[in-house]
Amino acid sequence: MEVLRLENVYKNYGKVEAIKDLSFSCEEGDLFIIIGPSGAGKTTTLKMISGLEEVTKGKIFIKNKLVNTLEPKDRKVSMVFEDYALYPHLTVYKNISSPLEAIGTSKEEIDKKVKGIARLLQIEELLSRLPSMISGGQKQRTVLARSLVKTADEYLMDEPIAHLDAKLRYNMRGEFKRLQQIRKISILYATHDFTEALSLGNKILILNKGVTQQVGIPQEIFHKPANTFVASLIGDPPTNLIEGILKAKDGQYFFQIGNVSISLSKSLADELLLKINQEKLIIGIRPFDLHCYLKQKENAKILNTEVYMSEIAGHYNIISIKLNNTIIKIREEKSFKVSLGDKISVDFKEEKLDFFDAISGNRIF
Amino acid sequence: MEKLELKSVYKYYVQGTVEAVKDLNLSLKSGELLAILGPSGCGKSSTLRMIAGIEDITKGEIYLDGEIINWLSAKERNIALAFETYALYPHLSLFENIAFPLRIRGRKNQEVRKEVKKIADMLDITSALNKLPSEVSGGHQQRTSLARALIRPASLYLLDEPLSHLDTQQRTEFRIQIKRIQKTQNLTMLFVTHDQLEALALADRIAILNFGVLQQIGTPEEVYEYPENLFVADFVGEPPMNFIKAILVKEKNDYVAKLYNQKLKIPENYKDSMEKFYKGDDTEIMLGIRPIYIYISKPGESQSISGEVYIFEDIGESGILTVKIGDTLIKVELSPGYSFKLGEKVNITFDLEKILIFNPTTGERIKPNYSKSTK
Repeated sequence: MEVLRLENVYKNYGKVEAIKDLSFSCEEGDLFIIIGPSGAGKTTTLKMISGLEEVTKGKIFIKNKLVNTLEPKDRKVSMVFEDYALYPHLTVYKNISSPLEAIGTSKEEIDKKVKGIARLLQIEELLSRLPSMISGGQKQRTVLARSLVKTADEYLMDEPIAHLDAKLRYNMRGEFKRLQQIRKISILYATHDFTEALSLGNKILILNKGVTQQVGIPQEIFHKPANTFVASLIGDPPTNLIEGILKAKDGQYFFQIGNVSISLSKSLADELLLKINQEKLIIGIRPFDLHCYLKQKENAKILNTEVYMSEIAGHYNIISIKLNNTIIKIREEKSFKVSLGDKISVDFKEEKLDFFDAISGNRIF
Repeated sequence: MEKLELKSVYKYYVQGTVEAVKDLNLSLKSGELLAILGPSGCGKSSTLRMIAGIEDITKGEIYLDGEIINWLSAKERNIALAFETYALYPHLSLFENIAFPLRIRGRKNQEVRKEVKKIADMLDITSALNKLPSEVSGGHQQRTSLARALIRPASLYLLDEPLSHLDTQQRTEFRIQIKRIQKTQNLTMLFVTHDQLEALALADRIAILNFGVLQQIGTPEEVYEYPENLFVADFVGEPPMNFIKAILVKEKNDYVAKLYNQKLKIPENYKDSMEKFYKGDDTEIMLGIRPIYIYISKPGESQSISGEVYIFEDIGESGILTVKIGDTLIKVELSPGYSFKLGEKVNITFDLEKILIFNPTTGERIKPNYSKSTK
């Protein structure tokens, strides 16, 4: 069942268009992610849904009811902000129970709900403590508990774990996903972290400067980014984007990057030629899909290139090479050890390439 | 040759009540890039400042090129510095900011121009040289500050959190440039950071400090694979290492780690060290294993332990499975293509070569009798 729907929503601040023609819908039990860099319009979108900001144009429906003119308190949504604020003089229990007390819930009902959510978030033992006596991660759990203790049609979360340190974030992400799956609640979740988006979301919308770039399930976005903007967000390190020219010579096809050429199969080139009207293209390839060889590998796509940099990234190495003026990153096994200036060959499977229009940045295929 | 050597260096503040650095011994070879890594308050900046000569040494000796430098002023030490806060002269162009160390040394105009151009090219700031610091981005300011430090020949270059004000993409780009300059110009460099990813990526060796005490010094691989104690094991590496409390039990002639009702044989090469550590069948040990060194196995397979799926996350390039065994959560990093349901039974095995054992009381790693990790 559909819980939330936005239809052609716009938000202007004076002459600045913060959101342009935004439409999407969330089903019950969805963990719907909005991802984008800062300034993309994520927070503005959540605020319009919760009623904290007015909609300039367009319609917002919650459970098929138009809510544009409803007060925030009359919309059945619950919002968590990035900068959490707990009442410092109230215990963890009282902090969590405050939204229920505000709406006059009975004592027994409150106790049942607070304890239930505290158990799920593993903060049961902390209920009698003050916020100053608990850690950052525990505070974050308390804030989540406070927002989840109320019944809402849609829970709106604005970067709820963004400012935790990397390790805590890594653990909280899993906890959060588990909680959502057990409770089957509907969440709209804003983040700038693509790993978080892939991990948590069952649907992802990518927003840049107020404009929707792509909406889809995680696998679709990961494997078929709609444009170079989306591709540049994917992966660690992110997708390599390389500009070049499609060239034909003596019946052979090449992708020419400055003075380096990479051969392409005829079938691929034919398919490309059908879809493009200029020879300039951008190819995308993931560091993960590139492989290095110490010796000259016969028929490798890139031969005799120099190691520009080799860096250790925990359990793998990142090798950089420089083609023309573009630095290309390769994710290699830790056992692959090279030094600056070493000659290597680099290979990849042709089907791993993504092709984008060099001007619009849109995916060709 | 040892370029820099710290011998039993101490730093106390407030008449000895705050011990910022304790008994630090550390040396740097010519052409080496050393990172001092630690959380805030670990003493890394105090160390850097004592080497630079901005702060007094409470006790101990510092040698540069074989000469003791304890009593030399900052100016008299042949050391170049780049700070976290850029500290650029606001009324001077980027060009003049970079040229400053050469100007005060009375170098000729033509030579200055040549040197500035060279370093600006390496750091990609040539096109902005005529601008004022206020007219350029934070990234450019940080590059300018580094260029100013690198412009003159020095025995040692000190960098204090050189990448701290940059976004992720700028940081990875800039870090490559720093390492390339250091390697191609064969500079001896020491940098301070709180970011373990940065230290692993950049440094030849890493010195890890906590509460003013050196925890370990070694290559990135050594500190990642063979951390000396729980602090290093926990601080270095992302995703973090799993720590699993277990009971050490002796069965016939073998040592076994008991994890709730399940047993895990401890590798043969730990026998002597376990013999020493074992104090009866209630001896606690702490196992440490990275998510990447745990695999999915079949039930009944030897050394396999079972648990249930707590959560599974598909993040495209890999899958992260959290397994619950008793009250312990264990994270497993898998290659793409797996999928699991909440609560499903699952069997995992640890790579016995990669498992680490710690003394839960002292936090020290218990080393095997033999293997390269004993070094």
